[in-house]
Amino acid sequence: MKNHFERIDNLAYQSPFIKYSAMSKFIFTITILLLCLYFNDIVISCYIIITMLLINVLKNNIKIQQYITMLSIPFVFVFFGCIAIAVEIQFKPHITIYVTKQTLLKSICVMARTFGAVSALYFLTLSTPIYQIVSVFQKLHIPKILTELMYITYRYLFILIEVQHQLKIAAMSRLGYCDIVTSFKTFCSCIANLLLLSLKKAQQHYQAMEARCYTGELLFLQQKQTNNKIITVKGVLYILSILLLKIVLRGQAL
Amino acid sequence: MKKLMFFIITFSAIFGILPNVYAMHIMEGYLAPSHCIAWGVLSLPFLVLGFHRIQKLLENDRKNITLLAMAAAFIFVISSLKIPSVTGSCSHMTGTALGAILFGASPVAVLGIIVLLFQAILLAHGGLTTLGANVFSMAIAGPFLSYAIYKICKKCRANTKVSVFIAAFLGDFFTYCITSIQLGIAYPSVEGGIVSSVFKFLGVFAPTQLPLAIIEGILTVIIIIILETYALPEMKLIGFEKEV
Repeated sequence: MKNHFERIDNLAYQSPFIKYSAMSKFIFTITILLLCLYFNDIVISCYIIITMLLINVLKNNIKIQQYITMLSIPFVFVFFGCIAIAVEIQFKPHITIYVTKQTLLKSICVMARTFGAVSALYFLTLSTPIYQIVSVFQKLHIPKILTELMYITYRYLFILIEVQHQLKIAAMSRLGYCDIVTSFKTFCSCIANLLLLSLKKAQQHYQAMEARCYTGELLFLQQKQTNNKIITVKGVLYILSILLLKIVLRGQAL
Repeated sequence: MKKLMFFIITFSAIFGILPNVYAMHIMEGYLAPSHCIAWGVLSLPFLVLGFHRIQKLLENDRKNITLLAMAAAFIFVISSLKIPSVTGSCSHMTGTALGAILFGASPVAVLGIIVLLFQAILLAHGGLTTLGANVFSMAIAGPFLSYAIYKICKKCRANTKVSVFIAAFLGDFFTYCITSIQLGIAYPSVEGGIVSSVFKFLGVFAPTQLPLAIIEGILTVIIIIILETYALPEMKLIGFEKEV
């Protein structure tokens, strides 16, 4: 958990796209997401999965094993969900469970669509650090209180994950997880302790902020973002290629 | 019925050993655009309510901002902790019931949307387009029910342990029901329509979610007991009062 979390953050900061305007990256991802959802076509979903893999691995310098591991995270949910779509139950006259060709096709289509959308989302995750995403929300006029909360929450996540990790190691070194009853107890005391520590830290942090002249507004230095024209054109071309594929597919269907 | 049982047992056996069951977040791309928008619109009033509550809290005391942010981070962390279990599978708490009992229901709705957003972006649990649906099931339905049950039990002067257990268990269970309903409406089955489809989803997720709800109930009770014993001053600070 701790490693996974820090790795994603590191990857986003190391991305070659980091200096490129966050707004464009956000719009690019959302457009692809919506196209993928709206067309709901297995060919287009597969096209997005493959091209996004190429973009993330070749252009965004993500190792392929890492990327595949990350893609496998949603697998359990998708698998369960697709079973439920594929399987039909009939109650009369007997209870029968059956799969038809249509439902199976539908579930595979949904599976492809989900993975297409998740890979598009991964492009955003792996190329845009959270502070840039929050700055996009700011530009979209989401209330200031919310964006400010997001900024601070994001920072606290790392602190709390670190504290939790330390608590867990401390408990393990004292045989806190030796059997199931003890590990339940340990788990609960860890959470209770975590809450206490986080409350204490919250108070200290506010004092620290006040000592640095906090008057109710958080200001962050933004890294300079440039709009590289070549990348923009490439992005637009990519979206056009999806549309073109849809037109070709429709032509074939007719 | 035998077949159904066999079906459920087989799948629970298979998925008992799979790591990381974050089963109840609806994944990115799973819902059609119209459903995404509808669930988003449905959760909007609750979010506005929560937003006003938070605004009021901050107007009273600006200090609450770090407290709220810590609460959100806390919910994020406990919802990603692995519950120790016998089979070696990794299940996770939803943590929303605990959050609702500690911080109140409407602020948790707003904190929940931040948590879910980060979970979607950083961990790929849930997604941007399904944010509305996930917020409704996990940050609104679950916490509001938990909070209501907890308050009612408190009014009836029920035992704290019992009321916390019922609140956490039902909150978790309700979240799972709502998610199944959302999925059922999105993918109605050919024959039985929405109702039969909802039952299908309930059945498929039951093996992981039912034991989890009970465990979550027990864990929440133990946590509240520990907190009441050792940390009453801090608990009063966040608005949690000990029952007489």
